[in-house]
Order: sequence, then structure tokens, then C-alpha cells
Amino acid sequence: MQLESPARPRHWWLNPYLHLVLNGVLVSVSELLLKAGAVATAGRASPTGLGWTGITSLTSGWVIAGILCYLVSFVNWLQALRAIPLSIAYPVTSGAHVLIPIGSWIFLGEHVGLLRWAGILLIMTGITFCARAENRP
Amino acid sequence: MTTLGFALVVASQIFVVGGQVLLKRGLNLTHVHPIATRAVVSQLAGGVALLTLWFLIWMGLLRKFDLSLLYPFEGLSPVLLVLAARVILQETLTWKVWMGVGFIAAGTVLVGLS
Repeated sequence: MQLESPARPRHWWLNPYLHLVLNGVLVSVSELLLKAGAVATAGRASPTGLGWTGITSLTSGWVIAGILCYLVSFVNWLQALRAIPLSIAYPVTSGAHVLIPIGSWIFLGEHVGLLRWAGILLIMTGITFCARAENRP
Repeated sequence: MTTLGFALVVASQIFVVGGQVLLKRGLNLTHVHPIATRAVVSQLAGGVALLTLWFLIWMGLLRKFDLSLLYPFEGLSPVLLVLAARVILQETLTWKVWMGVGFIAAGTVLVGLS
């Protein structure tokens, strides 16, 4: 398959790495919203045969807000993925695993232990390696 | 974790990896001219469908299990996905990607264990 090299974006706001970062932030926000919605609806009975899904959570406002955030992040993801190899872009989205505990610490006052900070540091190291892996001309 | 729970975790990983690979395949085609609209749209739709299945299973898992129990398994998905990108999409992987994915997987497990 003959691939045309993706042209340098015309505008700074089309930069795929900017969209990759926006994607990570929005995914983290949506994950926190979804967890809040999942907790709020955990006791709800599911329709027969659909017990393995979380389908009854769809009526929660938290879940709807989470889904909206997720939809926007998906557009960012497509723009990033057009230009960046999947094997680099996807590991970088693990930034959510860093932002979510930090967000829970700052906004929700959750305790983050030493082991968790160590894990966060490892993930950040890994992301740095992946983000620098692309061979630039 | 129950056997069903574990099976759902494995299924969710397969759907994430499959969905992302389809999305990337579709988007790669947008760099080829003339654009094969039908192939692009069908692969993107396939990717979205698989990711929708992943989403429903993930919501179900979040309701049944603590996030801290599910997190270590999440560490697997970058590893599986990079392997799939190498095998299916034939992307070139440098040592930096392997190092990065290794650190991320180890870090995710630690976050889950803590």
C-alpha cells in the first residue's frame, strides 16, 4: 500500500500531538464521571439477559455527561491517529492512568499512597519513551 | 474474581485492541488517493462497533468489581495493542516503544495493587 506522508498540519490546532493530549485529558474526565454514574446506579436491576452489561446506567446524568466527554475525546483521537502510528499513540493514552489518580487526589481528596505514586512515575516514564519513539525526518 | 468476570475482562481487551486496529486501518486509507470512501467508512464503523461493545462490558465490570481490581488488567492492553499494531498493521517498533510499554504496564499494575 502506497502511503502518502501526512503533510505538516496547516494550523497549530490541527497538530496531532495536541489532539493526543486533549484526548487523554477528556478520557480521564469522562472516566471519573462514568465511575460516579456506575456507583449511583449499582443497585439497579438489569433487563433479563443483559445483566453482564451496565446498560441500566445509561439513565444516569453522570453517565450521560461522561459519554458526551468521551464522544468529544473520540474526535480528538481520530485526528491524532490519522498522523501518529497506533503503536505510539495508544500507549501515550495511558496518561489517563496518571491523570485519574492525580485528579482524585486534588478534586476528591482521595489518599494516594507511596506505591501508587511509584506506579504513576513508572507510567510517566513509559509515556516519555513512547512519545519520543517516532522517527522524525 | 469469578470466571465470568475474568472472561469479560479478556473479551473487553480483545474488543479494545480489535476496535483500535480497525480505526487505524480506516484512517491509514485516508492518506491514499483517491480515497476509497466505502472501505474507510466500513472500517471506522467496525472500529466504533467493537469499541461500543467494549464500553458496555466495561460499564458492567465497573458495577461489579472495584476499579483497583480491574486496573492491573488494564496494564495488559498497551502490550496487546502494540503487538497487534506490529503483526496486523506492520508498524515498525523501535526499542523505545517496547521500553515505554514495559514501564506503562508495570506502572499500571503498581497503581492497581496500591
